Amino acid sequence: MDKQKIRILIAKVGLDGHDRGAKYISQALRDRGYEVIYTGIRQTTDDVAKAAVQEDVKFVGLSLLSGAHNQLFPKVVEKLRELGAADIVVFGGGVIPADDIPFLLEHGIRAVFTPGTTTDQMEEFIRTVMEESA
Amino acid sequence: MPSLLDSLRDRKVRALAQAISLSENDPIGAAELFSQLGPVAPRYKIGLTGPPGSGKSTLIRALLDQAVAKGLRTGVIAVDPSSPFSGGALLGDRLRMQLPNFDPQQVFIRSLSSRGHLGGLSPGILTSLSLLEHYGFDLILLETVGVGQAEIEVMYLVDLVLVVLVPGMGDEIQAMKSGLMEIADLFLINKCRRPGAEALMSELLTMLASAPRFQEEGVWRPEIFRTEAIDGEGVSALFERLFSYREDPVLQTYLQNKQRRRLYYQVFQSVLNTFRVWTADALKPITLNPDQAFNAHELAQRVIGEVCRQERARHDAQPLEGNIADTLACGSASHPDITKRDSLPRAET
Ligand SMILES: Nc1nc2c(ncn2[C@@H]2O[C@H](COP(=O)(O)OP(=O)(O)OP(=O)(O)O)[C@@H](O)[C@H]2O)c(=O)[nH]1
Ligand SMILES: [Mg+2]
Repeated sequence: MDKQKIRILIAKVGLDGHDRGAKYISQALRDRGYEVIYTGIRQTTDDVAKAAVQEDVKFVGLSLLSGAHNQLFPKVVEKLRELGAADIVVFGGGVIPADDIPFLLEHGIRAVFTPGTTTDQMEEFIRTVMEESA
Repeated sequence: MPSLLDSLRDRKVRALAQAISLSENDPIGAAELFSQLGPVAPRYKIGLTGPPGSGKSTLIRALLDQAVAKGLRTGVIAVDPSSPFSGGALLGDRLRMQLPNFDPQQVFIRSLSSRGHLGGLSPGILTSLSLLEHYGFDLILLETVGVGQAEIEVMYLVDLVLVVLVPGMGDEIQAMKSGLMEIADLFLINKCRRPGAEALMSELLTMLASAPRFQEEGVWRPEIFRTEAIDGEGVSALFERLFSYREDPVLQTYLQNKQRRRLYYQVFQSVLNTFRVWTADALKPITLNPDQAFNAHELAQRVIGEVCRQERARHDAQPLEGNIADTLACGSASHPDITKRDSLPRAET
């Protein structure tokens, strides 16, 4: 599939206002040829899911540093399902303890990227998912 | 599973979003598919253009506030440039537009990348706008990437073009003067509390007074508004005015004339876009060899012949109703049939 046509929504859920990481990822993915919609800080999980549907993205990347990932990430997955968009793939990033990752994966988050993840690794994940759904 | 067309008729948000993607990815196929939705009553469409950072997205957010308060449903398309290097794009308009806790049936926002399209808009923009009309939004807003000669296309897509400027950019305005005067139906001085708002106002008034287009009797002359989009100052006045325009007889005449030019341009563009794709397809299997004794023009004639022959064959297989297809189809008696010549040259490999 043409990379340029793969659309990814990046959002910051939760209350922390640090969006350097999210912006960095957005730019890195843009530079790799993806269409990235960056929706900014303090998004509610409902608004993220509604935006993902309207933007017709294939992926939603959630970033969070405040520690509420176990509550908030699965909520986005749930809301997408409610909107009939369970096929939109959700991944997460931020400061996430290794112990929490299995819980998130069980709740529909397809991948969790902790600090130090390279853009190559993210691209590899995107490619794998695209191949699966092709 | 219901078809995309059925889901569109049921006004499903997801179907609308997917239909817009299809229009972007396959403009011709989508135009053909969605023509099955039938004709649609035109909706009020406003284009917003202006230099980067002048506040177009912030203003749209403020207009959405007004629209929601009045129970109007609004569809927004925001175009950002694609990166010429990677082809990717970082679409940031939504960030400034989105209302918290919005009702997705009432406020629909879609970010598009220009995907290198020359006009600064996106390749499937015509079809995407008509999908929003079919969906039945009361108001449709289109944000374009900055201004320049290339962005003139927006005036052929919407009823009114709103040019958003900010104080303190006199030189830039001088530089884009002729383009602006050609496309603007309304001017807006945003960030109007900044110093220089008065100077900008008088500069615009001078430009309007000297632009030939606005000198004739009974002609529509752009009004100038001031807003502070970030806190909503001046926005309700603008919004009221946008809707009262529909009763203005001078504007009505102007819009009717504009609609004729718009349709001409849209047909023209559609033909060009279609040929662009067909031509690329026809040339794909051919290795062009500069040593061969054909010049570019001669080759082009053969490509045209080949493209027309294929399209003719497709029409014959699937006859259209009426005879407009026949009248317009290539290769008819009145045209020399260039397909009779040798087939396209192929380079030895
Ligand atoms: N002070 C002030 N700032 C504003 C106003 N309107 C917008 N801004 C700010 O100006 C910056 C750009 O606003 P946008 O709405 O993104 O401008 P834009 O024209 O959509 O920008 P592009 O899409 O990048 O061309 C943001 O930081 C806004 O918060 C205003 O009326 N007053
Ligand atoms: Mg903008």
